[in-house]
Amino acid sequence: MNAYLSNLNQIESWFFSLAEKQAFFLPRKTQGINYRFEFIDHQQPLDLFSYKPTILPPGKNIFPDGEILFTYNKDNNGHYHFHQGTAIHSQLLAGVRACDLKGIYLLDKAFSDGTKDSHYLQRREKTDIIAFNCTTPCDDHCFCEAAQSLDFQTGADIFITPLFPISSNKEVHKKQQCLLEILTPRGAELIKSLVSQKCSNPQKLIKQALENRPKPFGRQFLTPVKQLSKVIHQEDAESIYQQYAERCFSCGTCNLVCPTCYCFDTKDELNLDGNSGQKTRHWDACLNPGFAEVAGGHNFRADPAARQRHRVRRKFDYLPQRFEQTFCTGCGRCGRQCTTGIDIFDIVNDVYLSIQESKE
Amino acid sequence: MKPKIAFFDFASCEGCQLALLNCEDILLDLLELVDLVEFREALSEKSAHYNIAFIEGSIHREEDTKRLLDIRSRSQYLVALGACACNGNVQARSNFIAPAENYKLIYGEEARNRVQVDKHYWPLWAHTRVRSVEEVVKVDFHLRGCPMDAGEFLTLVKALLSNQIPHFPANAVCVECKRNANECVFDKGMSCLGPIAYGGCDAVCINNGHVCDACRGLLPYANVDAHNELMLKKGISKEAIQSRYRLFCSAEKISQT
Amino acid sequence: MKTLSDSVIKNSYIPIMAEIQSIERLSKDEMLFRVHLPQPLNHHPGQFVMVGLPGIGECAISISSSPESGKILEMVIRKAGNVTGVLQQLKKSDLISIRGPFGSGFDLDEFRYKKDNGIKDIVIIAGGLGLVPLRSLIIPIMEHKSDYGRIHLIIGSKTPGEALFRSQIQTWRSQPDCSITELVDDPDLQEWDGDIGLVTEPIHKLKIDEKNTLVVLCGPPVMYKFVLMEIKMNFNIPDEHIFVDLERRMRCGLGKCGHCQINHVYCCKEGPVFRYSQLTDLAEALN
Repeated sequence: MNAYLSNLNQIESWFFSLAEKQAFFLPRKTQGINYRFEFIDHQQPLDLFSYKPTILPPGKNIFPDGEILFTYNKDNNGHYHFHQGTAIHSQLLAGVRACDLKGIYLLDKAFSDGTKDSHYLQRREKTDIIAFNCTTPCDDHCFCEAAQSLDFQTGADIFITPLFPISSNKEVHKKQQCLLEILTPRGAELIKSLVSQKCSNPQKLIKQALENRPKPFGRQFLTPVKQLSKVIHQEDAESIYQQYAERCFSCGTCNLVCPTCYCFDTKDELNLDGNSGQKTRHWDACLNPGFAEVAGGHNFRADPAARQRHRVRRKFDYLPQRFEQTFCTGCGRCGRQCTTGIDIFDIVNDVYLSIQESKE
Repeated sequence: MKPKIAFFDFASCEGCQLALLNCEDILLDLLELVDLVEFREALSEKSAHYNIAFIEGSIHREEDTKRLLDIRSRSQYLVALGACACNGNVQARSNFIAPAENYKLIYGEEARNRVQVDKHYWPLWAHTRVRSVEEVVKVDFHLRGCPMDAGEFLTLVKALLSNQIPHFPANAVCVECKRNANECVFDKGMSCLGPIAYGGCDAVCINNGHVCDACRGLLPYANVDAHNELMLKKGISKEAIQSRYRLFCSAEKISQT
Repeated sequence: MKTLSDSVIKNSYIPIMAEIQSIERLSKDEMLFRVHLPQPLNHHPGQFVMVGLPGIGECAISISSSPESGKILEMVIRKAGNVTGVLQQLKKSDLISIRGPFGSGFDLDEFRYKKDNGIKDIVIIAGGLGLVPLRSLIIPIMEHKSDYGRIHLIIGSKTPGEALFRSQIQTWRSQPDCSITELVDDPDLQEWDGDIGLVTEPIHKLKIDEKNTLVVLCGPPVMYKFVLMEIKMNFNIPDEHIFVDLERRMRCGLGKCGHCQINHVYCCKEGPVFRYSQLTDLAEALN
């Protein structure tokens, strides 16, 4: 594995040059208090390290809402002709944090399990990722270390670690050094246009940079995540889910902002000519009341507590059984963006606490 | 034979029909497929039977009820078009105030006192509760919003023309806000009825920097208690919250208000 | 992620088009569709297909024909929602879209009677539309009856008007070692030559070799709990020998979209046929 050193000034101009060649996304501050992955341009100064997780995770750029699965038309003889959906272009996602990198890794797993999902996997192939290491927790919602996604590197082409303490004064950062680890041949290709010098002792530098990380890093579960999964699998914990469901709006925000939620609904559209149309897919949310309804009206999860439990178990029990990984990355988005303050971190801790209490 | 469609006005600004007329691009194609038999904003004709009757406006007087029942009896599908027809809209605020008092607030005390004794004005005081269409007759489909969404209108008409039964998912506005990567209104220091309101509008107000006032009505499963608590926590007064809920949804049942 | 680029992945959402050969009305809400496929699906009994029309939509429909039916595919479409409503308005020679087959299905080999420890009894309990997918299992058994042991069919419907495939059931009666009980909940003032009652009622009278019996259930959600209770009360049949065929709303059929998920399993992938032993752990499965 090769590693290089460069400073933020150089990295910034490198990003601008990359952005001229392909669709290049980087987190940018919104008008309020959040961040969003957006196209970058020369007009805007870049905010490379101090941002917190974006409103939507970068994985959504690989699994876009409203994607066309196919289009069709019927000819004069009544024969149907089907055409592939949206053309897939290459893109570069920069500023992806370890938690979101793991989110993308888990989506890769889910979409290649069994029948492969051509749309996701082809777009994933054409997506390059430049990831950033975290030296401090993003805010008090984050629990990436507890969810085992801190330092996650798989799937990135280049992984950047800042070799300096992050401060609120961005000007002081400009000349500071960053270490760039090249993880794939595509990463080696990308780095060619960066002014940098080869680094001979990357491990030592990383170790130094990460030494001053706060310990523990972000919020911690009451028990290790493996144990937590076991408890969530075994315990009914009806009253806990009920308690959270009481203030839930069933609005689906927690699902839609989650880096590992990939459920979708499909929509078939007929053009006004009656002879052509398309099939699209749209992000769906298992917290929305209509999600588990079948034809005829029976709803398998009509109760909001059942939906809340389904969400928690999908992250900590169901999908882990299938893929041997916790499907919560600890990014904290669901808790951060829930208007009514429901945080999956609190729910799982409460489930754990409830059995501790019943044991006593 | 082409299906017959008709539009009928009750108490409304007729803005929904205008919103439709504004989509010139689809309208001409659509007119090829249907027979438009009544449309006050565009032409005037009468028919005995309608395949799709669009009802615009809320229902106020006894005579409105009779007319609506008559339209229902002659229609295969009846569609409530826009916020007035679906959830009463702003005029339903008058459900919480006596008509004479209302008149005074709008036109002043002197005018009110004058019309009080003029018998030509008496029918004004005779109106009953402002109702949504569904409170009077069976509604097959709701096209919600103030004004209604032309895209949804087209979806509905296309579906009915191809013998389908269209379905509009009852999801909160938050779903579309997230699909559009909008920053939450609450994070911008404002307040929002999106979590308890019908979406389907593509969160158009929030996309353009506004807040949601639930013009499409409250969701059947709206957790109004939790929303009320959230608004109080954001420092909004009880009165302001109540007024906000009543802006578009006064013809509906709203707990806590 | 370059490893994935080796081959172009197939777009699994594009359907094939099949021509309708005949449509037969079975009851007020149900129609039997027989379609001609461009190539055989080679399905297993109990599997399903996504059926629909481009531009309109798709829904999951159980395959009702035998795995040996080649390019002919039969399925029963009940008017339940938007898509099924449109499909019911189609005519002979119209085209419909098909994707699949999907799901687990039954392994006929397991049902065959083999000497020594082979399966001696097969109990099949169908409620209402539940007979439709089970027909894809019953037909191959009846056609090769000498390969299988004793067959016990319990078929229930709400009213005589809703009873499906009655003339075909009549032909099965002539098979050796085959007992068939047909019931309705409510004779509804119509002519009815079968029994009256619920599918749970004949269960205790079954004469079976408990250790070597397979039980198959399919019906409306409410049926499973009571039928299973009745079986458990009267017989000692291991949970692995009881099969349950479940219904969920399915969108993709590929184990991705999440709509049919029951706890940790995807109904469209691991199901819709489950062994009861798989379900005892799934809280939501039989509710």
